[in-house]
Amino acid sequence: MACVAQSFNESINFNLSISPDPLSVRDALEQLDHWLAGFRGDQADRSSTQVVMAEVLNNIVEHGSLGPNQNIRSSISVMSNGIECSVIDEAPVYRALANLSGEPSLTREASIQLAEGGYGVFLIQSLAVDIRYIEVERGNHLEFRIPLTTFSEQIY
Amino acid sequence: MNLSLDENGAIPVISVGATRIDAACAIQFKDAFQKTVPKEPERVILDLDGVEFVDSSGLGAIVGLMKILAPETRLELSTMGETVNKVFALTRMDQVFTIHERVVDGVCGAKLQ
Repeated sequence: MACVAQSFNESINFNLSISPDPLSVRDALEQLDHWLAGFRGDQADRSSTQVVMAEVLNNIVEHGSLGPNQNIRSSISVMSNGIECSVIDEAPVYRALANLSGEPSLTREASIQLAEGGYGVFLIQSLAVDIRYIEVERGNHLEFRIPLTTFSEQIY
Repeated sequence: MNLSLDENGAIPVISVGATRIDAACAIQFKDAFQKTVPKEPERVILDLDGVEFVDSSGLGAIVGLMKILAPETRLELSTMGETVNKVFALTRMDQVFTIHERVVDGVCGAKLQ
């Protein structure tokens, strides 16, 4: 398990290198939340960022077929129009992230049927905007933005 | 994962001894809950006080427990923090579960929604 924060505090950029396992993802999310707390913005922005990042990272860990030495790299920036996130992995054949840019698709009927999975993509699409998938030479690159609440917009 | 059972009130209450129910522990949480829950009460309350974060794996585990317990037992939730509440609201699970603001409300039969 390894999660390395490459920059911290006093910077508007926060970079992470995350081993492809759930405990490293958890560690990364806790570090990210701690870093975002330093901006004293709205708690809602922090929670939305953590929810979306959790779903993206766990999706890669679960389905990306990454080897133990193939870390996930992530960069987060606090901007005036939102929290911009970038996630890069070296998964060889994983293309599920390419389909994230559509509209949220969970229907009321689906929730009433009480599915035990499938909520992750819905949460990403509900909370993130400007979702962009880029297929890179050796893997996948996903970018998205968490819009700020009005309270945070006045601070940043 | 540590879960604790309080059977002193009218309704059994199960508390979670962790701050997160996520992909790293969802299966363990589900197993621990099934070992902790009493045999077929009419209702049981899962007290989420202190749980700061639930992701889709944790949500799936809670939904799975609801389905396993039904129809004999109704799983209800209590004391959800802001982030947990957001996940339940976005997925509309707040309309599926009975959610109490405090455990005492659930024990007394009051409903938040």
